[in-house]
Amino acid sequence: MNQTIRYFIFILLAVSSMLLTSCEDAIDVDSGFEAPTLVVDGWINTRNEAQTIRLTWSQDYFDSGKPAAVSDATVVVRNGNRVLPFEYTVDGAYVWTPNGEETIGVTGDIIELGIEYNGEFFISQTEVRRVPAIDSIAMVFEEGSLGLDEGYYGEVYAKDFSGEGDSYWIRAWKNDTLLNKPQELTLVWDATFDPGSGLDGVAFIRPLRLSINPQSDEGGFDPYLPGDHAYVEVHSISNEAFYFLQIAQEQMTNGDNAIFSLPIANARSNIINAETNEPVLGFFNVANISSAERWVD
Amino acid sequence: MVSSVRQNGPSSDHPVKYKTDILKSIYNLLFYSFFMVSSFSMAAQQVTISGYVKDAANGEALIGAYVLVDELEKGTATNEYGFFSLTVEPGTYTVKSGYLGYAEFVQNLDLNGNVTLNIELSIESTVIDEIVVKGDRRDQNVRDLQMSVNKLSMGEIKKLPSLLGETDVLRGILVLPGITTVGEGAAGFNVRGGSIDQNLVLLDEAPVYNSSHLFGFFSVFNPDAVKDVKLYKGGIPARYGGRLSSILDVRMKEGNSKQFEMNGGIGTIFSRLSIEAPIIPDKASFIVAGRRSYIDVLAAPFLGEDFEGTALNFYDLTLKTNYRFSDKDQVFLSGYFGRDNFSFGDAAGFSWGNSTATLRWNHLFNEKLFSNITAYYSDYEYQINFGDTEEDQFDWNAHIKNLSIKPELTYYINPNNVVRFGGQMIYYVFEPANALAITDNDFLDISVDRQYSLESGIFIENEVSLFDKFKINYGLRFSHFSYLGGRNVYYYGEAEPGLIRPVEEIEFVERGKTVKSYGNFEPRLSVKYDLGENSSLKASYNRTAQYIHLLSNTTASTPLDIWTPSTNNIRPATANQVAAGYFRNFNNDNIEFSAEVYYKKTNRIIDYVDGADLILNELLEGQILEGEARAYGAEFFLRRNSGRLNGWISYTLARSERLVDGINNNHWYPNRFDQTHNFSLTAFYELSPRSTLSANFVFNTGTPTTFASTRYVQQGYVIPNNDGDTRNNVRIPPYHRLDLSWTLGPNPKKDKKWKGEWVFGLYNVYARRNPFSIFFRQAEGRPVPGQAISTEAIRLSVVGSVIPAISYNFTLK
Repeated sequence: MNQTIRYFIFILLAVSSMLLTSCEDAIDVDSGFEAPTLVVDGWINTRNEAQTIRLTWSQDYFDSGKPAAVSDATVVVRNGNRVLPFEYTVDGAYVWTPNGEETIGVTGDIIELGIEYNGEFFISQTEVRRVPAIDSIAMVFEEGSLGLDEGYYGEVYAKDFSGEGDSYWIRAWKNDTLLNKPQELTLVWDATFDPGSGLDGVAFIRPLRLSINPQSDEGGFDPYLPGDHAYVEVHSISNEAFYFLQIAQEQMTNGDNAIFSLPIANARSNIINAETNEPVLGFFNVANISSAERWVD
Repeated sequence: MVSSVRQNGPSSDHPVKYKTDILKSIYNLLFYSFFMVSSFSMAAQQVTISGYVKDAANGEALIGAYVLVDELEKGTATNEYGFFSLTVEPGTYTVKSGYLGYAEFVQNLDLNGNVTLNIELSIESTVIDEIVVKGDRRDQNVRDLQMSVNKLSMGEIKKLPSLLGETDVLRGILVLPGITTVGEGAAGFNVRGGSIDQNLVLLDEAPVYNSSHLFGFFSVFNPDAVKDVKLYKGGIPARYGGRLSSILDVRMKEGNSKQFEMNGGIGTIFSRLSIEAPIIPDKASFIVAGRRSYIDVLAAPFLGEDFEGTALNFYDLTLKTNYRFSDKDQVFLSGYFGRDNFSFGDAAGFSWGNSTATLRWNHLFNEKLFSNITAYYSDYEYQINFGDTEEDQFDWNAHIKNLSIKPELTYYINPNNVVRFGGQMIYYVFEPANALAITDNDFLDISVDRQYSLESGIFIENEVSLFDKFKINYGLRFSHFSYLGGRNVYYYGEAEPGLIRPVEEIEFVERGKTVKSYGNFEPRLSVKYDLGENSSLKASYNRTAQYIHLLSNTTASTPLDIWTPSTNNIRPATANQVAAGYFRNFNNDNIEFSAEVYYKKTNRIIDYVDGADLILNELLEGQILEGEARAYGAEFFLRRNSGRLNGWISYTLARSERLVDGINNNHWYPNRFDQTHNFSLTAFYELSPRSTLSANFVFNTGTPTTFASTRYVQQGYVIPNNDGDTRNNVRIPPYHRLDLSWTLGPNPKKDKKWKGEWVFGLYNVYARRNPFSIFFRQAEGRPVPGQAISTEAIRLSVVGSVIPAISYNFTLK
């Protein structure tokens, strides 16, 4: 119920900054970082296009540079008898380019990942999950009011499949700019935020539909204006991927929770060292993608 | 000083006719089944002095006032209703009674039969720097059997410098040893390393589930309506049960039974008003007290249409009335209703609050046997709604309701031997979520089913003095809990430690059937040994059981946190605590000193899997982890009671830790609220009879937290990681703060009907930015794809500067 907590924070900050001059200052602390480890950025999809898996090194939390690339690994993806090699290009990217109509797989396929680096083997597997079509993108005009600028607000309509346990990731672009703030990362479990609610097989609830609007630095929405373009994708993700991204997002945005912050937790990888069974940082998921776009008139 | 004495004659030694059959049967059952102790003291012919001690000015019963027979050096203290009973051999005696800040009552009595003695004490109104109480019983610190108790008078609480000038009953208690909080603005408090749900907060015996307004900034108790506040941290007597760590017993005023009285105040946050008056003088009276925040009212004229429909307020209303309908019977009816409201037009609204109602009946079976029956109802509720269109809405509310009955009897055999016994039953209804969602015109009921349960307990305790130097209170409580049907019951399979357990079986259990029950014997023991006139040693042991749990995994608890009963999947928690202390008074009892050490071990505490979702989740039992906790420490307290400069110093050296399978690599780790050192100094200086300067300084070790060591990139997101998988292994910088206030009261020489008082305060005088927490985040703003993202550590200070405040309080009599 992040949504509700956000409102609490808003009240809290409004009151405490007004009365108590509450504040946030950047400070120097020691992260306690010891040594870099292998990171696998393995989010690929079933579209007929080039697929990239990126291998890098982890960094000290306060190292604000780009991560160092891992260039001399071997990366393959296997779907049944098909072994798809990923070739190294640049900046840690290993790319597979399809021939003709070729794709990684279809719904229900079990896809395996294999990586060999420096004599060690890393493996993972995942299932390609179903994704619902996007029915429409609505653009609703709102007059300006408290915390809401005047303009058009987009809503993406899609209906969850019947049967509990579907998980999705909504990604949106406004005028070709990806909504990539941690706060904008939108995950869907069935038609709502998280499992356990019993909600299933209905249209995504409104806060999820509204997630395609970019968030301003103040935490509100930036509206769309005439001439703007919205492009939205819904990715199917495994339940494990949902939990991975959920914890990752909670941790990336934990500072927004002020006094209601959550304990620190590590997003749980599904890629392991084949010998030791120890997880490595990162995740492997193969998504089905549905998409839609809309211009604001 | 007023008193009334009535000779009853020896015949009333025997029990009089019972008022009700119910009481009679409870009485008989408990009396005859448990009662062996009394037999040895029945031999000689004895007489009893009994009655009530009250404040002469307003008729309020005085709790814990002493009454003693000078010649025998035997005494007692009044109970929660001001009642006392002393049984002695016939003779001529001097009876004395007193209470801190009141002049001593002295009367000679020729005792040859039972006597009813109702004592009224007057506040000593002479110059303040003179020693006020001259009685022998200012040595309660040393003489009382009870240890590990924090107690402050409302007078002291009102003089403490406070945040925004709002007198706060709970914050007063926090400057005493053994109490910590996770930080400013956090709801609740932690007692000797216990989590916030391990405190039983009682308002006139009804539990209050959320004791804060505006998250954790202000407590829900109206200072004008509170008479007495007492916090038991250890040596908890057998009559209290249901929580592991502490009992905060808040008693409301009964209402002035002598004359009309109005109190009120205007502060930065609240305006307060209370009215109390006799209905039938000395027999019936009432008090009505209300408070409301008014930021919204003051701000309204300056805000535009944008703010229409926006609400931001909190308020509480406290009511109490009592009626003494015979010499032996008195009833009390009290109620509390408080609420926090926040709404943003039709788009979103939140509100939460407690309601309680308590009915109590005191009955005297005879001079030696006092009884009380309490029945209460308590409800904590919150409501949330989102959505301003018919197609899309979300409405949700949650409750914890309980109904309880609690008979209790006290048998004053003689001043050296007192027995209490009784029981309690609590029926709980938990409503985790009554929720309706409408999404794109689809109506969906996503409620989490109610949970029903029944908690019961019986206890007996006996307080005896032995060989002049020993005093012992030993007791036993047996508690029992049933998780009842009326919903689906889940059975979970095993999972790797720290991960969500899968559901294996779901079974519907009918309403009223027992799903799972638990029982616990809870022995309690307190011992005191007198070392001499001015010092004593005390020791205690208590075992406590807790059957209901607050589900909260955030640093500060939110108003949305729900309570859950123990179920077939969540076991009750138990704690064992031992404590020992040295108590010493100096300087004719003007200076009190105490030092205590304690060790507490708790079994089956609750923790959560990473990413746990605790609300609107029917399957949350699968996300709960079980662990154990331990806490130990030393507490020192030095206090000067009177003189122009008075106050106290408190220091606690402590550690509290937990061990949970699946967290911190299965090693012990400190609690988020653990503080190694906790020091506070509170001083009051009387500048003149009408003006007081108050100061409060606190220092404590920073609380532990966990830092991310590492960052890595996934799909353009920079994700923090804690490579060692540790928990709470670094500490944020220490917390320290100085507060000052100056109280200018009315001229004590003029006896006016209207008495006003100004309070000027400065909170956080040297404007330290004390960290509440240190968190890590990426720089604000939209990351540019392909470019590195910078990450930083941020210190969050809830109070960032010095906070001035002015408030005005008044009394009209």
